[in-house]
Amino acid sequence: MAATHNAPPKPAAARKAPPARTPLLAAAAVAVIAPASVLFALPQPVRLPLVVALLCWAPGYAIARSARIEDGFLFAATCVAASLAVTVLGAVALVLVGGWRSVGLTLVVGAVTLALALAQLLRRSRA
Amino acid sequence: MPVATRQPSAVLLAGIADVGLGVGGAAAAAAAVAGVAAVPLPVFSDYGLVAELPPLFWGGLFGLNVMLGLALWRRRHALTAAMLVLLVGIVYGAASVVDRYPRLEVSWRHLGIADVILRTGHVDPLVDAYFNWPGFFAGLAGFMHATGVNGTSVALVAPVLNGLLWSVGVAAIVRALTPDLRVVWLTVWLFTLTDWIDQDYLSPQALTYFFYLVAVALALRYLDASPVRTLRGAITERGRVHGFLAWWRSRQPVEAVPRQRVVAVLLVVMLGAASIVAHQLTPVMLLGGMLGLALVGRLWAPRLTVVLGLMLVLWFLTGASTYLAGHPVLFQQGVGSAAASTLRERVAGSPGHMVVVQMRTAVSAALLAVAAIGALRMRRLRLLDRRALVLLVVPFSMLPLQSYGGEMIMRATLFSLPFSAYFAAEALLHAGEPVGDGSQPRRARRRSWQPLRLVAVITLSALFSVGVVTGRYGNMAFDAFTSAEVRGVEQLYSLAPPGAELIAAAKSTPWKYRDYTTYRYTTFTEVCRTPLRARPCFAAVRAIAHSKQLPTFVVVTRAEREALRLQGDGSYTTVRRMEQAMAAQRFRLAYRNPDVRIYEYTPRD
Repeated sequence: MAATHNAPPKPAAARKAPPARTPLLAAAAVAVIAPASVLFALPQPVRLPLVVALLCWAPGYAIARSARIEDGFLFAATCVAASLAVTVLGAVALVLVGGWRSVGLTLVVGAVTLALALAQLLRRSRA
Repeated sequence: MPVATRQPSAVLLAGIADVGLGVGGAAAAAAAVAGVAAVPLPVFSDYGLVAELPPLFWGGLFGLNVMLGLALWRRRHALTAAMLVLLVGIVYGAASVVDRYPRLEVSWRHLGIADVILRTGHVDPLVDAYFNWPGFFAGLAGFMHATGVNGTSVALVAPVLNGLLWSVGVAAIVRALTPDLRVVWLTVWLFTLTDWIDQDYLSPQALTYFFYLVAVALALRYLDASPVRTLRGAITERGRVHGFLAWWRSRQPVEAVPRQRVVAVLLVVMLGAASIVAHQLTPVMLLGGMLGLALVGRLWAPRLTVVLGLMLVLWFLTGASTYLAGHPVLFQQGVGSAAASTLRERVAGSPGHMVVVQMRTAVSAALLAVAAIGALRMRRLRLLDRRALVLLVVPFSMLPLQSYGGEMIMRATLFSLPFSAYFAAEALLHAGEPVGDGSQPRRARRRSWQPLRLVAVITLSALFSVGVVTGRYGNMAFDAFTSAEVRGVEQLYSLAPPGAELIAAAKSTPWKYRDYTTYRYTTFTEVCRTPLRARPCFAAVRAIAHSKQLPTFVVVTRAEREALRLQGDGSYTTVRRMEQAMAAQRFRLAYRNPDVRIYEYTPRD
């Protein structure tokens, strides 16, 4: 391309840096604490940020980290979109098996998040 | 060393200018919010909110656009981003400032569907189409119950949240097309100011549109391919079909890391699956976009389209089979009838309403015209990215497939909007930029165009601001609800026993947010021919009421009367005559407040 201003960004040849540990630990913590907050009906001001973080951020964050997405816009968009997609698919799965409960939904999304975050942490420790 | 001595003062001046821009942008946004907050409800004008907004709002909105333009031109990216957030908040959230209740009857209805899942834990696909695509509602119900947040609060803030998410999605798409951040910002800016389509309320399509944007951004960024051979050369050498295939098979991935490509494919499949279980149209648009990219040799994983297609068919055959048994999805109409349906249902009503409709058309046409200039310029300079062009065109190619309740042109416009905004941004930022064979030095000539482009961008943004506020909020007279209307509907639910027939004059009623499956809901416009005529319509309503074992309740609200009048389905006089006839013939006035009257018909034993 003879382009100057609109040549697409060059993909990085190698991305070997492992994902940061603290945000993954935070995602794993949210995956455990948020369902517990719903299960034990903690006060709404406590539950609200935890559940929002779980359903709208945590699983997508683990996935986006795993994908090593570098562009900030795409990373942010993927975090939220993938989380909401996991929530939607988890909710439909629960409806289809006849076991829909809001606690069940948080448990499913939490389990997915925990699995993704732990896989990332394991990979990181091996790297 | 004059440069060395000037530098600190230049830095200081630049800093002061930046602070001025920031303060100016914040003040302009505050003025716009204060202006819109001063608008009283209900809105009476046929032109909607635009006729009621005070000069303070317009001053604020135009001021914000000017500050945004200056920040963009000075390449102050953080400032530009912050001002775009303010602009998105104002454009998408204006109605939420005016009214304490969610706008649009359909928002209330969606809360009711989530409420059914919340109460019963399952979906009955026989109820209606929503229960055949329950993904969004099941997720929403879980979110509301787990967080303890009130549904109407979620619906009230949903347009702003969706506007912000869409903006990030659009930015991600444009970032995959160009590294020029100014093009990214200007695209988001134009997208916001030309999105009059009003699909950002609490709805499955708003969520799945975000999925669509992110899936497309992932495909553009990580699944791009580039054929090694030229199409012309391959066809010359091997004939049309074999040449095309040889060219197509010569694709090489642009993304060098296989793992990135695999994860991107999995993410697109996941977003596609979530769209398939949540909305009818979005997955078809996603599949169409991916097919388009594959056909022009710019998708590294063409089997992705097969996977998406199979998942779509699988859902049609399982989850959505009940609905589809009586409703063919595709090719139910030809192009002509689909377009006619769209035009007939959307382009009708009072003279004021017609102005609103024309304004919407003008905004989209103007953006497409500027986009065409951008695309032509890029083509002339061999800079045209075919992927953006394909994704702009594909949504419109879906028009023959479905009228989608008369909304297909609107929806196609929405799906193509990021790409028309992108080409328009390219035109506004780079039009007139020479290739470099003129007599002037290139840099000097580019500089000479800069003020002109800035003026063009600010002028266009001012025009689009008027257009988007007119287009989005043109139906505020009937799609925003007063406290009295919400109170009236609450009263309706307390009066009506389960199983009763509830009849409204028109759809614009803040109902169905609870007991969605407990009552039978209908409207005058559904049981009578439009435009309504009092005598036959009353006869039809009475016949329904007479045929029921349980009482029938007829609710007439201010918003319903306005909807009938503005959309050309009836007049105040027709509704008044209907009410007079009801009062005279066994319909008892059971409740009234300034905006609502409820009539009750009790069948004889």
